[in-house]
Amino acid sequence: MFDYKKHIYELDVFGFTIVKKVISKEYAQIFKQKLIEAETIEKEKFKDNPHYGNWHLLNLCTCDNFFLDFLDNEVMYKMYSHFLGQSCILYTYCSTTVYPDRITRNHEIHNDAPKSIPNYISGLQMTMALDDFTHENGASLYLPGSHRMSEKPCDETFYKYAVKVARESGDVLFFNPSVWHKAGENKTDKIRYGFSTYAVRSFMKQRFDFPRIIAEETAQGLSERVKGFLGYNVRIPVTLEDFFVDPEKRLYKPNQD
Amino acid sequence: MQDSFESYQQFKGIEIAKNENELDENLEFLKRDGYFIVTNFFSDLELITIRKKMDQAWEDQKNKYGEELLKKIGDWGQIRGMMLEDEIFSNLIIHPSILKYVDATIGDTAILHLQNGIVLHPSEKHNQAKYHKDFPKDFISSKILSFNAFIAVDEFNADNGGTWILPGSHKFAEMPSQAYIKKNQIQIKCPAGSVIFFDSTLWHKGGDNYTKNVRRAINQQYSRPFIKQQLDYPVMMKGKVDMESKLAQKLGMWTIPPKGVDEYRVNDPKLRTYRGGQG
Repeated sequence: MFDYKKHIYELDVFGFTIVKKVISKEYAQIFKQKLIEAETIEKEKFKDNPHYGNWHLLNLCTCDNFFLDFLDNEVMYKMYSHFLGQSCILYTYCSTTVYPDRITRNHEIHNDAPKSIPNYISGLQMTMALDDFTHENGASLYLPGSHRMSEKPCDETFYKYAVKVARESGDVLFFNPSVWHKAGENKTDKIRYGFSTYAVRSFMKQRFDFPRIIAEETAQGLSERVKGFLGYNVRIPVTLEDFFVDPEKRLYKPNQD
Repeated sequence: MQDSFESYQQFKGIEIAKNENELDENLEFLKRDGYFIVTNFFSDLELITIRKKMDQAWEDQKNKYGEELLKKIGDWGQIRGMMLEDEIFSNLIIHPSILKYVDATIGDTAILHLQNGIVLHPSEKHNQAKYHKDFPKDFISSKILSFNAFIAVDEFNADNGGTWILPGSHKFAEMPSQAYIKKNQIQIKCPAGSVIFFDSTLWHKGGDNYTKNVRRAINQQYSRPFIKQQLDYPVMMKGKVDMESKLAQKLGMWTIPPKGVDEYRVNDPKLRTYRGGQG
């Protein structure tokens, strides 16, 4: 059962929390298969690009419409809107694939908050396990309470107090982007699959300009909540004709954050 | 008798604010009061040109969009997207003496959030006449996220609608009470050519113009580059600006969210639409 208050408390105190069974194991497998298919296409497309080294899918929104369905997830929306307001928007939606014995910059101690605002939660991240995340296949390490630390902790402190967020497929980890963490190493011979969503306040720019890159016919099939989450209610006018209209007709709707 | 540091009681561990030059002094005022004013920013000759260009821009926008629509949407007397109208307004965005303070408060990666001309008509109701913040958020940040350079193109005085402010109110998210406002508000009075710099979270409102003439001003708001702009200046100014120029950076042309993975995974990261190191 989704113990909302407990997770809010853990996020506040520890900076992260695990919510179990957000999707079923069966659905996680379908999702994983879709990820593998999308990765195959993207690997071929970017095979000659020297900056495409870690095989992450950076924008699931345009890989397959299947991925857009998840953005209506009730648990995700409830957690995001608690911390970021109901007008929060998607910053990024990407895969978090960990290959056996491959080390990336995510394996260094870091946080994901270059755009942080002091004493204010401007973003919240979620990573979904599509395989069981174990100590062996790359479960990440998180330092509890470190979202309140502006300075990077030293290795000694980090490894003494950090915890591994092992969990089963279908479970998610929500975390404050300011928490200091690092990816775990995959010591097995199998690729470990997951994906991540990152939501921010509606006045902030998104990593990708989702409203302009999602096909119009695709957008028409989305719920109002998903469209809002993708940023359709906070689009910036590109002409003065877009701006000089009744406020309710504006691309940037009234009463957003 | 000259004040001296002996007039302070000294406490171990409590430092005295740095105030060694004009920049330090103004930044201390900004920190404590939420605003400061610099006079003699523009010469009389420069002001004559700015007024002429503003009047033309207002006439053009008024004729194009019509009085009825502009009044209906509360935009009467507002010139939007001024840099599209004349190069003189682009130059104001990157005026070195303005950017000196923008750099010192937000940093050199700050971008323009908006540049609006304000033509305050005599005896007209306007949408800036109620107390508001230009960066209206329900929190207070210890880092300045947004900063205004408000150019007094005409003199600001009690008769023509000098802006009312609440000094120190940038430290509070909640709206002050009417009683507090009445006791503590002050009206800005300054000569034409002055610039009123303020934290965008300072509570303020436009005054009423009781004269027979318009009172002109230009509001330039700068913000951290991850904050959305009022208008999509990078699209509006595309092809009109050297992409490697300071103006391009200030217009937000270096911090455009990519429109797909193709734009992100370019062969040279310097070619990304949201460049590295911008924040």
